[in-house]
Amino acid sequence: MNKATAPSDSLADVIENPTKCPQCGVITRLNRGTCIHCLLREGLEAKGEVSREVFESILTEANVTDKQWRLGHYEILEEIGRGGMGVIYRARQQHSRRIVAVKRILAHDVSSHETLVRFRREAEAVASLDHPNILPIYEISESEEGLPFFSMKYATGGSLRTAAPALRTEPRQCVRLMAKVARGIAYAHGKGILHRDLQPGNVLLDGNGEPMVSDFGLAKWLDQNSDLTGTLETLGTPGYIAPEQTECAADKLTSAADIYSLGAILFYLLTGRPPFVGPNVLHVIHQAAATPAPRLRSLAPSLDRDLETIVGRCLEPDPNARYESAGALADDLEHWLRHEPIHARRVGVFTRGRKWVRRNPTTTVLLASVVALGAATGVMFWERESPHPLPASIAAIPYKSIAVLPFENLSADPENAFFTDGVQDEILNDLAKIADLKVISRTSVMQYKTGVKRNVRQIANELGVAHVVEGSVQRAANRVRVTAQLIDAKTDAHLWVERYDRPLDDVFVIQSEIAKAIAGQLQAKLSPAEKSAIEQPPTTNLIAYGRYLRARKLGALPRIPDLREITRLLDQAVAYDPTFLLAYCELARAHAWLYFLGVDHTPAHLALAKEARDAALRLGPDRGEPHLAAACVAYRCYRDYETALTEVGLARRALPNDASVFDITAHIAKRQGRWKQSTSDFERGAELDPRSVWFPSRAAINYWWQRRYPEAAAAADRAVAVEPGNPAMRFGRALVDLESRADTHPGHEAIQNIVTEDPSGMDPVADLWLYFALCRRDATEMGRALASLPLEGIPPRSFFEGLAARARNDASGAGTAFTAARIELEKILREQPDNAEALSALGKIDAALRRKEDAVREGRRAVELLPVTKDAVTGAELLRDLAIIYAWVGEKDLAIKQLEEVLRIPSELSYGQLRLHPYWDPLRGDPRFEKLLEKSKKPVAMK
Amino acid sequence: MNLEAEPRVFATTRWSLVLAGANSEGDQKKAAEALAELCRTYWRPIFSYVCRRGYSTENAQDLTQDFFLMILETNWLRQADQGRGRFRSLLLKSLQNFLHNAIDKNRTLKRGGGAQFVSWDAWMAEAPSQISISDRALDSLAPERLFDLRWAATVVEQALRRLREECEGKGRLRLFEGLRDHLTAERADISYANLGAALGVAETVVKKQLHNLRQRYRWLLREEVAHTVENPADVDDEIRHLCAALATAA
Repeated sequence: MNKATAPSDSLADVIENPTKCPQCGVITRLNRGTCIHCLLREGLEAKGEVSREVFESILTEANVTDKQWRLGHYEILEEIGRGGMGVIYRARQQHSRRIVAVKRILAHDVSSHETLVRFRREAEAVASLDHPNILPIYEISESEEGLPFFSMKYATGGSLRTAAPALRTEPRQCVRLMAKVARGIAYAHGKGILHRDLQPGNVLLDGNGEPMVSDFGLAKWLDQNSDLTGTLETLGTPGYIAPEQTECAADKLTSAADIYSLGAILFYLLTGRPPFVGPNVLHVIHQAAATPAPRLRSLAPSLDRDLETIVGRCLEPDPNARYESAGALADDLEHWLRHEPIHARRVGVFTRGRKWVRRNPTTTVLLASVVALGAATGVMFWERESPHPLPASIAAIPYKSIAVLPFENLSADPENAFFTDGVQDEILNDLAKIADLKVISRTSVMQYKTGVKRNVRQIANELGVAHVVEGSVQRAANRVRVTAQLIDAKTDAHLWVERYDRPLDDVFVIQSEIAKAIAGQLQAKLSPAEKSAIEQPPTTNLIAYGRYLRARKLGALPRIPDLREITRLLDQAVAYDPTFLLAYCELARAHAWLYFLGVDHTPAHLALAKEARDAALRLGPDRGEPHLAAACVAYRCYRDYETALTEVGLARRALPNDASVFDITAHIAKRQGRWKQSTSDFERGAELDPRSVWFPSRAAINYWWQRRYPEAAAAADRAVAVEPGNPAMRFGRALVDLESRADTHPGHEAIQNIVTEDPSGMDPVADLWLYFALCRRDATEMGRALASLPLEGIPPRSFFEGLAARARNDASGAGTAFTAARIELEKILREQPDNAEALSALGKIDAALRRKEDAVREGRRAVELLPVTKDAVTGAELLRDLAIIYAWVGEKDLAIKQLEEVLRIPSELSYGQLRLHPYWDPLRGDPRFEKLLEKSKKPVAMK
Repeated sequence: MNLEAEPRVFATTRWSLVLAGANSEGDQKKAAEALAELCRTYWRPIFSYVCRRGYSTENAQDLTQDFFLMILETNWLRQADQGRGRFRSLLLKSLQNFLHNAIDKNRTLKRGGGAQFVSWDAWMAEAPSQISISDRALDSLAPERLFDLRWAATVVEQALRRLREECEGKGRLRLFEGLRDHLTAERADISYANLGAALGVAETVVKKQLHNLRQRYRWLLREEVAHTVENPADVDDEIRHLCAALATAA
């Protein structure tokens, strides 16, 4: 018998963060975390006991029978672990009564054909291996329900990970073990199988301490090309995977990758840590690819140089520099054990200096991981550059993640739909305050309507969450009945259910109780600040609450008429309850929007925004929502980016799951000319709000402005995928073809489809519709689009009427319209003389009305007032407007020069626009303009 | 049903059988079986102790097996200090002597002839045991303390294992698994509603069944301890001794 190492339970496992039992204060535990001391104390006299007969008779009263859990010929005893794709059990084989381990695929993954194929592949690959140091697979089979599984030897000695602390003081034992492991791996390589995920947890030990390699989960036939390995759903375990493994060239991996892992494991056994450590997965991977591994003796000086050499040779960044085979490694390890000279070259100073600078692995890793994330959430991301490392758990759906789906309204009165939504909304908001939870935004969950049978698993998958909350609200007279349940999305199990039947006034208490109970169920850490924020009801006045809910319902993507209604409702809300913090926050934001959109750009209006903001800050200086409102005001009213970012920072801490935080930072970044950051923040917002079209469509705009049309198209496609019926998204997507190729057919087709379904379907995008119609020179379309444009705005509708008339060669019609527009704009400018956009619009009007000096002066002044350095978005628009002004007043040279300047920065200028839009008619035919057209086909050169 | 404590009938605890056998008044065969059963249950504390005493694990395994062989094949008790007392303390003392001699004689460790001890593999697979302690404790724990710790864990695990089997035997394993973590919890800390929801029964059922399980667990625990003491009256004391061992290891 070969006894190599200790069985894992020789001494004890060490708890990493020992906690005292709340009842008795003792730390020592059984492996399930139960307190041994308490269990012992239970046995002391003076408490009741019961005989077997009595016990059994009471036991059998309970109607909780077992289904005998069998898989094939195996009786399942207990779960011992969960791997990447499957669950592992301890089981007993029926006939032989032998204890084995059984691994089966997770039920909800069965639907994926790819998973099934991989599972089978793993099992067959390893079952063919017969070696004392490879965990033998006994049987591959399928259960009655068609679940595939396989049985293998049950390793009672734990793994190298659990044995590691004891092994650290026995280097010879470590080497002995790894030599055996290397032999096993060499055998597998000889059979054409790579392991690809060697790490201490995968080397199990039997009762005699013999090492056995298991979990060939990523095994791949060396000489076959499987297209399934294209998507790296798991990257192996970071500390132990070879650097080249991160470069996605899965079918180019060789046995050298496993050899690296072997070296890393030995390194770990000898020193207590893997060669590279870091705060997250990506950090570790990046380090491993970019820097040489530490020398063994720098961490364990008592070890000898030969051992350091062996380990070093395994960890060479260049695969060709490592041992040529696992067998060669085993040979050297055995030489070392016998105190014989080893064959590995001593790693010299010069060889160390060789290249390990590879093309940046981070990008490809991120691509792989992002693709994996896409697969997990059902939405494909195409972002090629991401300045922020993604969090470590990118490919996995975190356990503490949740979506609160719309509740069912059980009241007879449909008016109560608001109330029901309000209850759900409050619970969602409460949970969203908890930093330890990932909570999906309201806009993403609202589309999963009640009344339709929900497929919880699918919804959870689409949203990227592990849990779902459903419920119902019934209101009658002065009482309210609320039910809520927490569902585990993978298993459909109801983890928690509660019913409340209380007076109506208690509705807020119910909401916070539900939120706290759910947080407790998921074991989410609740800070005292979070707890008090949750317990604080939004208001105590139900009428005020009703107004607030109605205002919120209007508020998703508000347009001007909606905004006015919103402020009206909210004014009432705060009138009924002057301490209604959230109402003030929404009011401040609504006023800020109205100011920003130019509707009411007066100091008086500004004061309204500030007043609401200040009230909110007074009522809740520690809450996140007032700071978010303050950020909105700072950004939209003052273009004060610094203050806005500061406020957002304060808000973000208290509102960790609020996607609108990223919305603000993304917009600010854009205005500051930080386009990459802006796009990245939109992507992060999309993560929190995956079923909202807002974020992908904003990202599309970012790409469009940079003239990165393929990416713009992809982002727009994503938005369409989220809401296929949304006309704005469909039309937006079609416009990408206009901008990139001057192709108007997709847009035309989209319009036809949209208005056929709904004649007013194009109304929300009337301004884009008009733009499109102008590019097509389609007078009828222009007329229709104009009819749907709101009257107010900068520029006002009359301006566009003038544009349309001009495009139709209707000189007198244009003159009338432009003159009317001029009057409106002059009025605005009298009140707001420094409104750059109004000034620029006036400049264009004056250019059309042949008032050359005025036009040029106004255009230039506008640019002066708001340069690109102050606002990269509006500033670019003003620069473009100046080019239009020059073109219309006949200053061709200036126009060309101005256009050149604009094309150098991100702007809405595009090849399509230059080619087709009437703005640029005066320049057509000029060879310089043609040159600019060519230039506009290329993306903006970003620094 | 009368749920009050019923008079204990522990006339034949294993240890008392062993003691009876040693006095050659009792049935030798029964005594041997009882001892073997005790060893089969309590080998882990022995093994832990030997490891803690600094032997390599290969040697520890051999020594443990030899120790048990010695106990089972020789007239161990006759030769042991018959201060009686508990199986645990006697075992530990014998083990200490045994190791002392083993070092002295520098024995070549060999397998005993016919007695085939059950293989490590099968034993451990049948009854996996893992305790977790703080790393401070692991570093500073005296071997005797570790022995007691392991002993305590074994006692508790045995009782739980039997409880599980009794539940399983009546097709109520799921009930057991659902409630087993709450056997010692304070009433206020238990959410009966949640447990009821998870198991699909009413709260009142949960309360009753948990109470039932607790009571049965206590019975089984006390019986387990009783097997290792001669006098049933010693059970409380033995439990307290083990509790003290755990408290100081914290």
